[in-house]
Amino acid sequence: MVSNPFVRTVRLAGSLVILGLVGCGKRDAESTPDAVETASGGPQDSGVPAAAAPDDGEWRIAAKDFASTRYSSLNQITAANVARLQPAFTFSTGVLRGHEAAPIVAGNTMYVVTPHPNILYALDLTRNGALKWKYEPGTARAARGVACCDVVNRGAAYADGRVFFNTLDVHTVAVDAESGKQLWKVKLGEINQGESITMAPLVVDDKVYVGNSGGEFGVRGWITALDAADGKIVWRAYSTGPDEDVLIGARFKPFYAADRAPNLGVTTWWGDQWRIGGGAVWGWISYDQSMNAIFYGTSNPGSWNPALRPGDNKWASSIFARDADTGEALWAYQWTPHDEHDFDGINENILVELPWGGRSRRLLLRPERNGFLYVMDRATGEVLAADPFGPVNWATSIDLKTGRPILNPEKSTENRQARNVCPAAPGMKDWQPAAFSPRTRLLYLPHNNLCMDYKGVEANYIAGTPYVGAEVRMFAGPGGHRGVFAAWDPVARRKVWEIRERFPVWSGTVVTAGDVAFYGTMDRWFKAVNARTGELLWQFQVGSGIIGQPITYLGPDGRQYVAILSGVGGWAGAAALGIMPQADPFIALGFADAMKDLPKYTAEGGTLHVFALPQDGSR
Amino acid sequence: MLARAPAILLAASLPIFSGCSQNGQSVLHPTGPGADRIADLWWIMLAAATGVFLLVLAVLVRALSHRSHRAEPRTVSHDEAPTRWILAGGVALPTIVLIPLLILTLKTLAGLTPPGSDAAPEVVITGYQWWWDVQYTAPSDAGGVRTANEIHIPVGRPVRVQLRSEDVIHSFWVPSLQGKLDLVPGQVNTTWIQADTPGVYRGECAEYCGLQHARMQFRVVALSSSDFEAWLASQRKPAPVPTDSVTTAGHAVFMLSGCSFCHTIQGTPARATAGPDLTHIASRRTLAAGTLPNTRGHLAGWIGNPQAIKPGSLMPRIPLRPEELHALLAYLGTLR
Amino acid sequence: MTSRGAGLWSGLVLLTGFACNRDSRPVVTGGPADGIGRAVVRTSELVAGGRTDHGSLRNPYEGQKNVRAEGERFYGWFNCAGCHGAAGGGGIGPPLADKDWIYGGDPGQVFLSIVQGRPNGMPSFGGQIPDDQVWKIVAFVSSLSEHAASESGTTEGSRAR
Repeated sequence: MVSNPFVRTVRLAGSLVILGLVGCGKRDAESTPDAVETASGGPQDSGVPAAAAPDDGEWRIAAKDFASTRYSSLNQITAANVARLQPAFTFSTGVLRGHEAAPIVAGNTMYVVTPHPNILYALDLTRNGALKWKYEPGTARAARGVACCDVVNRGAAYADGRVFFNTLDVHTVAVDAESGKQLWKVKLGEINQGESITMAPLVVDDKVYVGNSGGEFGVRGWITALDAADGKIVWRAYSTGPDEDVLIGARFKPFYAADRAPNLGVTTWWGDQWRIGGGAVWGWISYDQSMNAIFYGTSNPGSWNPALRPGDNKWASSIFARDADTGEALWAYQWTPHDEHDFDGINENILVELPWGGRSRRLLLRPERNGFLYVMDRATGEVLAADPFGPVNWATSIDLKTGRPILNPEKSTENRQARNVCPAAPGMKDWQPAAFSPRTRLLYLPHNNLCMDYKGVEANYIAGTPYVGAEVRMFAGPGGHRGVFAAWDPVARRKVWEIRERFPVWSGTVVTAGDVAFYGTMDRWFKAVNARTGELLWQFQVGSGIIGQPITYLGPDGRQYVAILSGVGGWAGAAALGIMPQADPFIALGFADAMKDLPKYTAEGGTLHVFALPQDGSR
Repeated sequence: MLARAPAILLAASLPIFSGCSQNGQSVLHPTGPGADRIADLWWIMLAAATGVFLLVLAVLVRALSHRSHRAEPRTVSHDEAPTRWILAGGVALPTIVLIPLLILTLKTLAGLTPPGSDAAPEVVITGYQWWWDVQYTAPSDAGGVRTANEIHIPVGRPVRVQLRSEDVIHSFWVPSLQGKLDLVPGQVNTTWIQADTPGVYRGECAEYCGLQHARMQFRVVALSSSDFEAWLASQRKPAPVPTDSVTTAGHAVFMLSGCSFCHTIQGTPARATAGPDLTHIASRRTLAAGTLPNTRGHLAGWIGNPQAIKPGSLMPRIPLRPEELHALLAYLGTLR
Repeated sequence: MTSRGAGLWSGLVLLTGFACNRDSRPVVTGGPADGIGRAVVRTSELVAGGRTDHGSLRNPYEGQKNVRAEGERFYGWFNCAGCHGAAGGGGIGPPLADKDWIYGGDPGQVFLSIVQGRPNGMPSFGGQIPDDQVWKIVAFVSSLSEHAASESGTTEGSRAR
């Protein structure tokens, strides 16, 4: 009000400064006074690789960053104030069945992919989630017949003004992020061969990385790199077969000597069983910029009956490091040779740099399906540690000299009935991705506590139909609870705290700089816990069980939001989808029998829930 | 007349000794050490049994022909002779005869144990109604070999055979080479066969297993070492790609008429395991588990109407047009 | 009518005669649209025109109990169990052990579902499995729901979807 020229100048200058700060994009301009470590920084710092930029408040890929940390440096929501979190808006997807996707946020727009028919919604965050546009890819209905574990989709990826996602009938689509117009759509496989796609693609620079699903349908697994501009295939690497198909060449230097023989993708199989050998790439891909390498895992070998496929069955249940540009394999390691329990090797690969053996080392952390939490050197593929993160009895340990599991013959399913095998086929942890906080240096693991009886039986291969060959029956593991949300210290190699849940924790998780971790349960609770202590700070009961991936982002109003999809389903939720475990304990590959009580807690649904702190004085 | 009874009986039993050695299937014409031991035991037991039989016959004849015509009744003293006879003939003689036979039998059984008990079996046989699935365990640097109703072995050394069943109890019996051993579902049995001379030996299922038990035969082909390796090498190869229009059409008929729902042909998309592996069907000697010789005509009859040849067998009658059948036969003929 | 008038008239008639049948589209005669012969096998209970029948194809193995065991063998061989469960509990596909049939539970309707396939993921097996084997599978499938409860599902057991 004072029209003093000096004050006016100061005010003008001050406004310019403020505008400059705000206008520089969605920076988190504040930092809490007690934050000693920040998200940005070099190797001597927290464990997040140098490629991480200061948190831009967006969530462009399901894993948040190429290192797959699922860590957000947003800290408006803290352990102290999260108890006041409340719904900001919701959106009904109009689709039932399992919602496994992570919502994507870029440019003030949120992108959600639904289960089949795989509708892509764009929600305008400046208008409280109003629908901007929707794109329907026209996914074939018949594809539902080759989806082993519900017709899920794990989400889209945003890059360079385009949104990329996959459809159940083996297509990849690129859509203009602003208008929703299709840019290109390519067909990568054939449902009549049992193939489908459920994974969220990874986009790095000019390439889109996509892998197929179908380990239960006898497919031949592959990963394909597409040109982001037009969808043309740049390279494709199969998981089984001769070296030239697996893109194993002169640069391939596996750490363990036994992995160096030629054409292991053929010689570790009976006859040409490798052609239906599984190794599907339906899970997570990470990227290391300094190595220019992608890291991803492969599924179980085709047929759950190990007697039908003598040999190690490479490269199913394995991890590959490949050159991101050419696809050439740099190294590979098989988590579970000659898998006898459906231990897919597709889980997330979290890339961190942590002190190990007296020096800082570039590591790859893998909470693996087979129950061991692996710490690997990501440059060489050496296994530095492998410790069980729950009850494991199919193997006693991993021999670090050879890299191979020391098997327990009592739990072998080769031509015999194995009883009380732990973990069960969904593993200690299935696809549900963990998160890593550089502040606490802990891994946050949503996982299972299940054991099973398993017997291999004859399987007949008919293309386009299931090729399983096992009678499986699952039940709760020791303790009686079926799910766990735990914090694990990868350097100390031990569990720090855990929360037991009634059902498998089939959702993903996100951990923030506010030291809060979020996850959801199948009995409809969305929870926030203290990342350091595991204390439950807040929970909210949503419409249907949660199996999706939570994210957190900065809204256009500068406030921090947390978003999650609810809608039960997936393999774990099969019992809630109208099937009859009471008639047949082996259905849904044995999972439904362990979840017979699920319909008492939830029905199907399909809703996006977004939460925020109340607007008054929350900062 | 009575005196000539033994002679008549002996004469009548002579044809038994001639042996039925046709089709390479005869217990009395063993060609391997396993069957040798069994046959030896059999001959010894036959000799012993014949000896006992003749003895008993002689005593019987004596008893019948030496009837006394004395008038006076028998005195008690005459009864002591029967006790001696009972002790001699009912206790001493069986002990002297049976105990050595028992020892011999046990020794023979011991000699039939599969040699090299810690080695992996070379052949895995799975019995189905009503055919034999034969799998050669793969060495580490090569693919697997799978065939049906025919086992090839090298001459002169024992081959361990693992026996399994997927449905009911069958029994593996190659009379010229070895004794019987059952295939029991849920259990793994191990036996061994060895042939000392090259040849084709006939085997059959020796445990009633359903409607077509009588038509569940197989062949054991004993080859010299080099021939056996050559055979194994050729069986490892996948099926050849069809080259001319007829065989290409036949391949299409195979894939599209439902054959691929039950059969495997390595190197093609057909990988079903409900029925026998057909990758090298043209190299086999018989069809339908030894029921038919493997000729084009017989194969046509089998494919055309399997239920007429082996009623109740699980291969259905799939109606094919004549040109389809012709093309299919041409294709199958290339699967050597 | 004069002769000239008659000629004109007959000329006109002749012209119209040639003018007719210029339309060369074939005229299809026959009864209402059929399914299989006279026995229309419908997969919907809703029938236009107020009818309530939905026709049937009879299973030639009807009443033969031994056929169920053979049907069970084929049900496993052809991977029906892989999607529908060995005892029809469902999974990738809907349960067959209840009374809720998406495309109809009569033997003829089940036969056609197997042979033709169905839109939401049921593969078509026609031309690959011979008809008599399909009928044996139908006999087995029909036996799976023999003991199903007729009321709708509760939280203990669910309806098919």
